[in-house]
Amino acid sequence: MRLPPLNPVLARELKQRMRGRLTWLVLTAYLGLLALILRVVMAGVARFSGAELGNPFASAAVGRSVFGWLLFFMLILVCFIVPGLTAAAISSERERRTLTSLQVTLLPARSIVLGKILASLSFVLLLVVASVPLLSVPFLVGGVSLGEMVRGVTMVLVAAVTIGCIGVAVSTSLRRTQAATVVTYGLTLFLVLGTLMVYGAQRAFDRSERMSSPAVLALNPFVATADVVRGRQGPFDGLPSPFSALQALLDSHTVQPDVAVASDQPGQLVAPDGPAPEPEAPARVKVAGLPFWAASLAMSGLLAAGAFALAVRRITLPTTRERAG
Amino acid sequence: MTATAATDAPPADVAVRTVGLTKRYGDLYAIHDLDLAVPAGSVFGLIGPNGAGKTTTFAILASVLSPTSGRVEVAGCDPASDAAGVRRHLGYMPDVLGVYDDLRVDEYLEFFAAAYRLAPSGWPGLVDGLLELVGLEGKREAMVDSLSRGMKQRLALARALVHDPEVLVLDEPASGLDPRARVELRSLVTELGAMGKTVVVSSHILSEMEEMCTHVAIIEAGRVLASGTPGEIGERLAGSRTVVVRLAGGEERRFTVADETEQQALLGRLVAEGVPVLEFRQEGGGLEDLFLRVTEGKVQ
Repeated sequence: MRLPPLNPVLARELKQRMRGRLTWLVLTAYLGLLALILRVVMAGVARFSGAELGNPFASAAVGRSVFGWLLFFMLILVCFIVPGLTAAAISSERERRTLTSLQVTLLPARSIVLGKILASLSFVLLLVVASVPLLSVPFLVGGVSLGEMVRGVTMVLVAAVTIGCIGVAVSTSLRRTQAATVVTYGLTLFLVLGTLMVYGAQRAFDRSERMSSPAVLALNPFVATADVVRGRQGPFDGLPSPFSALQALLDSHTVQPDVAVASDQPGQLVAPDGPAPEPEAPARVKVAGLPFWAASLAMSGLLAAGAFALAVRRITLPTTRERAG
Repeated sequence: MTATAATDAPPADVAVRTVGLTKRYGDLYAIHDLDLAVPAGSVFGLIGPNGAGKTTTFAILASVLSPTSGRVEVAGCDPASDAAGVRRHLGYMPDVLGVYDDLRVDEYLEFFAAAYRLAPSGWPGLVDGLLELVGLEGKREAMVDSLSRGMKQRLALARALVHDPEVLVLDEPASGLDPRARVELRSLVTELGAMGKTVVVSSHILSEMEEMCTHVAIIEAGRVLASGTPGEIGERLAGSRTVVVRLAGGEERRFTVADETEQQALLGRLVAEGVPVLEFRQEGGGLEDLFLRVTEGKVQ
């Protein structure tokens, strides 16, 4: 018995996407690039630290560093691939003059938008799942917990969903795919670099005693990922990781242990003359009372939901103005 | 101007009705106070020059565009408040052709069957039936990309028919087609009319409309200038109609009658009297002639 597709747009998009040669080309290129990065980083990190992989502490440090670099490049690839996949979602239908025929069916606008986003994200999911064997290398070398790996990959997927929703919203708002692609890449660039610049400007012009809020950084997928892949401190920490600088940036918002030390409860600070201080990690930074990663998830969720709602609104008929398509 | 013959029709026999329909962009009226009544089961031609408001009217009927004011009813549903109801009863083919080139013909139709929430068990039969209707039965597994423009146009028509709508709105369905494809499409539209569908169609080719349409409305600058059957319009314009009778031996006689009833009575009388009638036709009254007479002096 043949079952109806849950979302006809998704089913059609997957059929069209998997039929083309581009899918396996992108997948092969993506995995090849990640494998190359893995090889280069492993060799480089081992040489930098002079570590021997037989030493459990050394191999743990190498594993952590390699994991960080892999995750970092996965984020970069998501930032490159997702805008390209989603910016054309609706605008290409307009350009091909197929959108109106789709809109006058019984599919609600939200199903069309959802189908488009899921089609793009399923491809990203394919890329992420395909890269799990590569991620398992640092996991096997050591130094990375399963929970940490899941958190890291989740943050990559959250970034993909957020950028995907933004891409589709832009695609519904602009007539031309070329313009939609440029704007989506621009907005992605803002999330990655723009938020850091805004934060930098805040800090540069903030004359108050209190440190500026890092709230704007919660929108940055790299900073959010840095916050969830801190792991535990060990004797071989200090090996190069692309997230180290971002983690240090976040830590600069917490009170350091020589002023106050962390209690057993994360986020609660106690005076130095309280219970016996332990050489623990400093308290984690918070945004609006939430741990940084949770604030980041909430803000990304809001951004994605807003973009989704905008996209649905833009293609809901009847409309007051005729839009070719 | 209101087309009285059209608006006087009883509501039960009307598949599409617009009352005082207006669409305004700033100071520009795309359509202005448009009254239409499309009889159920008719092939209704909307005739007018470029910019007359045909496409805007169709977009409003198909729940694509909302009117500035006025009332619309398609198969008893209002597109503004019950778009889903209208979409269930209406098949819409926009003026510009757009198809998914990278799907197979059957996949294309199945996609729209899914989009209209039809049960998958009925898809194979539905696709077969539609392809046979539009003359593409041999192209079931061909890629859409490989079809000629005429075939794509027929496929688009099959797509508009996927959910077996009562009303079909076809905006310039023959535009850009070669003469053979035009003839094929015309006979297809006539066949749809014979199947009991209400077809609302627009075209620039008046001779084509004359062959297809049982009813027409002539619109210009967003207003209806005349509406009804071509005979009714001609009658209203002239107050009477001239009938040409060609007899055996080549002799031609002209009779003036007031309306269709008198025309029928005349034919009955000639046959009863044993007059050897070879041809019995109404003079003039062709759409081209009507269009020129109706729009005379009113073209901007």
